[in-house]
Amino acid sequence: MPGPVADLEDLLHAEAVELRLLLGLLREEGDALVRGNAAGLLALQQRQRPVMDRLARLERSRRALVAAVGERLGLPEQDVTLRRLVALPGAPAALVRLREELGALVGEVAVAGRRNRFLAERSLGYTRRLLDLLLGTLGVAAAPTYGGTGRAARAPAGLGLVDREA
Amino acid sequence: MTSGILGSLQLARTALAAQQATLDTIGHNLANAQTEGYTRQRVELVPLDPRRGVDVAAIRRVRDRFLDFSLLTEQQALGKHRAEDAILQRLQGIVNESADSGLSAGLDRLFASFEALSRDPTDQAARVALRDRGREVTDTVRSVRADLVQLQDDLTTEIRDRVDTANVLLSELASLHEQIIAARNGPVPNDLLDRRDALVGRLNEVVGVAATDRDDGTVQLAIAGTGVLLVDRDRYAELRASLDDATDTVELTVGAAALAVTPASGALAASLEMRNTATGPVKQAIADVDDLAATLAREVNRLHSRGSGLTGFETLTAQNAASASDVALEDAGLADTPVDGSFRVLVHDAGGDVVSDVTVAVDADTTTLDDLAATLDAVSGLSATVSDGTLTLTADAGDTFAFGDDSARVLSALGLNTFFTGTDGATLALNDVIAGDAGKIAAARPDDDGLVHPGDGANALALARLRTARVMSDATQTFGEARGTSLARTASRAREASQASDRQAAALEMVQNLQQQVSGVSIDEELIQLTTAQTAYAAAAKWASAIDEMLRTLLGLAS
Repeated sequence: MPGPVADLEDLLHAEAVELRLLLGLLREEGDALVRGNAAGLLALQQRQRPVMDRLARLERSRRALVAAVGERLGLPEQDVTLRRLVALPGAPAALVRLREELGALVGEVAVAGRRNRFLAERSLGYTRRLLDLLLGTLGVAAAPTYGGTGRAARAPAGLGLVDREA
Repeated sequence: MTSGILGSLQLARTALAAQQATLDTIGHNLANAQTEGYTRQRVELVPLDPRRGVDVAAIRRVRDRFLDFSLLTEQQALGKHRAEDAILQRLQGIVNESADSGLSAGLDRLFASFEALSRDPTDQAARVALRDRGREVTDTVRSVRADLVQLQDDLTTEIRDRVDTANVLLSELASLHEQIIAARNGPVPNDLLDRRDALVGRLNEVVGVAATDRDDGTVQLAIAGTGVLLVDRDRYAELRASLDDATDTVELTVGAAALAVTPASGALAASLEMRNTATGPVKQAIADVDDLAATLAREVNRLHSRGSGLTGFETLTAQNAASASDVALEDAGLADTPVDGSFRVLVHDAGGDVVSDVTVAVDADTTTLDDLAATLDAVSGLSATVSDGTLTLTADAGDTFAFGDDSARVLSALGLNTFFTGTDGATLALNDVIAGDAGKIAAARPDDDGLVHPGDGANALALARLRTARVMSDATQTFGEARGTSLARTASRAREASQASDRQAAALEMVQNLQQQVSGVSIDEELIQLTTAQTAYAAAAKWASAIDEMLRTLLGLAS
């Protein structure tokens, strides 16, 4: 399968390169989140943006190429996906291998992304709780509490930021 | 106010003492820079009024309790995720299969053997091979199930071990609290507080705790999310784990009152959840194996029991007993419940000619085993007896008997002419009759005239087609698909547990880094503090020297 198939292989190869780059950046992002390196996080986001742009362009080109290959093979439109193309008898081994590699990379990127989202949410959660405590200390949101006798009482004012009484 | 020269000397003494304390504290920090769990300490200096110098108010740990409590949250979550991950990895190790070994491969080989036999039912080698494949499948099913039950037992042991660990930590913490309380009127017992926090951390990984600081330096601990107290000052409540055989669950209780509790975090929470939950991965895996075994036995036996081997039976005892011989068959406690229908019994003489060809009608809600025996006993050439709910058929001398179509499922229900015995993964086995004689594998079906032809493989072919029959999961999946779904479910849970453990470890590290920034010893910072303290000490010493000089001058004047 010449022509668009060769172009498709080149494109998938380029996509794999970008995904590996993105994966590396996501792992660095994870390290920066763990270390609390806010400046590092901002810098990484700057570096991620062009990679994401290139991946989006490659993805658009891929769809067009896959459609072109499908048309050449006379496949119905709804069957024209990369997965179905590589499942056809006689599909080039390189195409099959590249698709598997991309599948694995996309999976790893998804896992790294979920991990970073989790860490970012945790980090924001601490900041929110700390602000709540600070505001509580300043009497801004003095929620009622219950003492040892069970009666409602105002939250104690003062600098007891983190002490909790039984 | 200082009272003259002597007052000034006293003032200088307080300065020297305060800076000495500061230097000692810095030295203590530097000495413990690599000590795990050590919290850096700072001297709190306060002026002595009025103008009497300086005093050491306290030597305190530099600690952010907000981070401490955040750390507890992350630690207990990690404890649970790690334990889950470990259990699911072990579960995967038991159930995972390779392409040519395991239950799926065994089932494929079994059905392939039935197909091979259908092509040449007289081939003794094919019969022996099929018998061996049958034994292989039953051995594999029982082995996998036994390993899963062992895992469950291991979880029970693991829970008990964790409870013992927790109790040791609780006891140590209560003793430590005694020491902290005793030291209340003296200097702040910082090193004891560090040990306290380390113990709380270790306990928290085992069973997630909620901590509340008390003024006396102790920390009140409750099981997180439950409010059940574990430690209060120098008293603690022991944990206890006990196995309830009736419900097959392990119960965790606290204290002398045996208060039942279900922790939500920590390693114990994971062990209990995995051990006890019916829809948890371990019990689900056991249920999947049992379901596959029961369905395999039922579907194979229903087909096998209506076929014929190379030779008929001279005598045959049912594998399954009815709960009582005088109750309706559908209420007789048989694993495969009979339905309204009929089954065919044939008696052949030594030459293979038909002596009797009887279709026995069955009304499942009225026909009893005794009724069945009476009907069969009346068949020419056959006698039937019942003993303790078990039916035995015996042909007259020189004759043999066989079976045909069985729409009532009576033959498979009673275990007559079946391939497998047993009803779940623990009991599935090859029928002893087949194990003893591969010729009894029912590859053929009697024709309309009641004759059995040795070259007929129709029943074997029907059995082979079970490979692609949708008999599992409410008739929606084949054996292979159901097995695949079960394995995929376990693999997915294991993958998610591993990723969750990894994420949580990173979250814990994030908080630990923050904590270290606050409480850890920075050698650079301590050296800066050291220089400052040294300078202050030198200044105080110089001043003390100046006062001493003044005093000598004064004494010189007096003399």
